[in-house]
Amino acid sequence: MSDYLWDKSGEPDGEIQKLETLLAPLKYRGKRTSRVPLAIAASLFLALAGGWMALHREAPGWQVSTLAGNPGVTRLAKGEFLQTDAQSRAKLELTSVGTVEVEPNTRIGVVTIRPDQQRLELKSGKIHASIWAPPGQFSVNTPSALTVDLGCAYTLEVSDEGVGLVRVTAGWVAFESDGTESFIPATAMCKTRPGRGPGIPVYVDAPESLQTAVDRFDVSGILVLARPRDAMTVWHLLRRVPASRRGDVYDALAQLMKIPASVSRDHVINGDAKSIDALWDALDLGSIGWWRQWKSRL
Amino acid sequence: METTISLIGFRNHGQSRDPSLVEKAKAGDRAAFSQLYDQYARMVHGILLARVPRSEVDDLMQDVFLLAWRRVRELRDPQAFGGWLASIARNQATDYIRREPKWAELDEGMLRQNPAVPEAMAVLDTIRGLGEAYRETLVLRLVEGMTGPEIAERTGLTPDSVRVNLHRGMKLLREKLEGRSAS
Repeated sequence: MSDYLWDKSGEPDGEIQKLETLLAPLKYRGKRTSRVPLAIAASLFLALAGGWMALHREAPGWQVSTLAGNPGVTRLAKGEFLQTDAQSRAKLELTSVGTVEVEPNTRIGVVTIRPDQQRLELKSGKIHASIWAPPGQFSVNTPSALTVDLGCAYTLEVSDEGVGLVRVTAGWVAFESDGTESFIPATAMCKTRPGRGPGIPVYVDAPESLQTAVDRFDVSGILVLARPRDAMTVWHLLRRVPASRRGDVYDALAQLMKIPASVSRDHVINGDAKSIDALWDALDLGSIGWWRQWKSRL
Repeated sequence: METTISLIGFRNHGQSRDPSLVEKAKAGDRAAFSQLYDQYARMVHGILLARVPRSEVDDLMQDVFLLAWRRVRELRDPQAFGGWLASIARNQATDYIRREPKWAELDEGMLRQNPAVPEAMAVLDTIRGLGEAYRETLVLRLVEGMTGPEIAERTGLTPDSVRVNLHRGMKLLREKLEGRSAS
C-alpha cells in the first residue's frame, strides 16, 4: 500500500488525490449554531443535583424505564430479576454500556455488575441490545448459551425450551461452543440449542427451503439451494461435516465465490485452519483475524 | 454445554489525545469539553456520514456530543474517550437507521449549492455500499482528511486494523468505481 493512503507521505497517488478533491465538499466544516452550549448550561444544574445524589449512591444497577404497561421496577441491581407480563415492555440502561429493550413475557436479571464486566441473565423471552461498551464487557447468560457482546446491535430470544436465536442488525456475531464457531453477519440469524451448541447461520432473506435445510442440518440441501450470497452459510459446513464430505462443500463454495489463490482443495479437505480462515476472509464480511483477536481476550 | 456468542465490533479503546481534558470535562468544565468537541468533531462527522443522510449529520452530531457531555462523568478511563465517543456516534446512527429505514440522499438545495456535490455523493454512496469495516475508515480518510494514524488514535481501532481496512477498502472502491464507469 502506498504511504500516501496511510499517512499522506510518499509519492501522492493521483487517484486518491482526485477522490479527496471530489469528496472535499462533504467534509466537516467547523462548528455551526450549536445546541450543545445551551444544553451544557442546562446540564450543569443536573450535574450539581447528580453530585448531591452521588453522596447518597445506591448499589450499582441498571436504570429501568417503562415502554409499555407496568414492569414494576425502576432499577435492577445484582441478583434482582425483572419479569414483564403480556402487556409490559421496559428499557434497561446502563451508562457507558448500552441499552437493552425487554419485550413482554420476558424474565431477565442481573448476574454481574462491575466497572469492567456487566452480565445479564435471560431466562426466557426476547431482548434487543444496543451496546457501546468496550468489547467483551457486556454479556448475557441464557439457558443454552453465554452471549458476550463486543459492541453491536442484535436481538436475542430464548424459548421456553431454552433454544436461543440471535438476529444481528449491526456488526457481526460469533457463536462459540467447545471449539465450534459460527459467525453471523448483519442481517443473518443463528440458533443455538441446548446440548447441540451453535447452528449454521443463514441470511434472513434466504429462501425458505434453504432456511429449512439449515435448520435440519441437511448438508446436501444447503449445497444445492445456496445462492452466491449464501456462501457464508456454506462456509460453515467446512468445519461441521466429516472430512469425507469436505470436498463436496469446497466444490460448492468454488461455484459460489472466488477462491483465493493461496487456498487449495486438498488443504481444505485436510481441514487446514489457515486455508479455511482465508476462505472466510475472501467472503469480504470482515476479517476472521478480528474474531481471533477478540477471542483471545475473552 | 456453554456456548459463547460474541459480537465482533471493530473497536478498541481510543486513546484520548489529552486525558486531562477529559478529566476536566468529567468535572464539569465546559471549556474543556468544547476543546474535546473541536478535537473529535471530524471523527464523529465522518462516522455519521458513513451511515446516515448528509442532511441529518449535523443534528446527529449535536446529539452525540450532548449525550457524551451528559455521560462523560461516568467514563472511567479518560484514555478511552475516543473509542467511547465513536461508539456513541455509531449507536446514534444505528438508532437513526432504525427510525428511518429509508432515506433519500440528494436534495435540490444541495444540487444548486455546489454542482460538484452530486458526483461526490455518488462516490460516497459507493463507499457506503462497501463492508462495515471499510466505509467508516474510508470516509475518515478520504472525506475528513484524517491520516491512518489519526484514525487509529481517535477511534480506538488498532493501526494494523486501520491499515488493513484502508488497503482493502480502497481496493474494493477502485473496483466498484471502475465497474461503474465501465457500465
